[in-house]
Amino acid sequence: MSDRLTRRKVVAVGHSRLIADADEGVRLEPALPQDDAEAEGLLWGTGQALLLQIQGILPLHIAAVARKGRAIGFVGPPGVGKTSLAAALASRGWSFVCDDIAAVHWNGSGTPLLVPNPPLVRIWGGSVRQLGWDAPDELRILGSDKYRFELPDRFVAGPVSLTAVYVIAPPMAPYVQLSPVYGHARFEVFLRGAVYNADLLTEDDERRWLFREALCLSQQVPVTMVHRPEKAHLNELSNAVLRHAWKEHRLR
Amino acid sequence: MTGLVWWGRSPVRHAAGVLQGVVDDDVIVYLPPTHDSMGLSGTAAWIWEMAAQQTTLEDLVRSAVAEFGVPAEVCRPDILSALDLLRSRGFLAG
Repeated sequence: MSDRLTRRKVVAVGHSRLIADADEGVRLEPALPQDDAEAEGLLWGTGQALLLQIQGILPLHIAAVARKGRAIGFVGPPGVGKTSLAAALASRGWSFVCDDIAAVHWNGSGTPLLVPNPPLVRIWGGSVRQLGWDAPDELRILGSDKYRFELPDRFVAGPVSLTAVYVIAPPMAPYVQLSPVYGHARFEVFLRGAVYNADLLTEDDERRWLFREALCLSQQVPVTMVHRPEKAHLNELSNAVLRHAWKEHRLR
Repeated sequence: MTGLVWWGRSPVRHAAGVLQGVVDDDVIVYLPPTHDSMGLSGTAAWIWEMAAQQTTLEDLVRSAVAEFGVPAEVCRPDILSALDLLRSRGFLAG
């Protein structure tokens, strides 16, 4: 059965409207100044997600890195450290696939592929300092403790298969611990947790489409929960993820 | 309230529009209008499979007795509990 997805979506954001149109692209009305950080965030995040959804392409809220054509992705609530963990792996030889949002495509054999984003990374100042990256003030995003890096040499050139997903839990555990997520819980990760703007899919046709995408992802992609203490250093987290990725997925 | 809304010959069947699939050992059911999902295993998954063709409470109890070898008075409360849960969430009609 083919579901009829909406070809145009309009979402109210403050005093503006975010308009995504399958033929015309995404824009804000009235337009905000081009250098406005909020406008950039809306157009790039929610706007791109809406545009992908109305084109029948699932947008994941994910930061991902890859080696040899195989990607691992990090998902979790905003601000939990998805990009920071991806950057920690990028500092150890992995390539970025995406920061924040990625389009999911499917190859002929039913493997999910992540399509790389423009090579931009927005990362917390604290993480930049932990990683030892050079962060001049001009890279700082106005009104935020985040830095914006353009890293064209650090991104993959084309789609990569999504081999594993790690859910970063809020920092409440006594030590770093990784545990597998099975069955319905794994499905819920893809139905709600990992999809960008899943709450904006309100029509039955849209939700049937979302169900099928989330079901296929949960049948194909293993999910692991990353528990951690508040003070966990990025190196400790990335070591734990790398050990797990090698042991469980033969990725390194 | 468990047991009050079901009687022996009342029909047990899937609600219209429910989508389903399998992940690991769980049967996943999803209802688009409510955006609600459940993972069914054990008794609930067995009932769900039986309810694919319309059945009744008494038929379910009889089948459970025959299939699992448990007395009717033992399996009936479990079946009623699962039926109540599935219907209260909109996955079963009625």
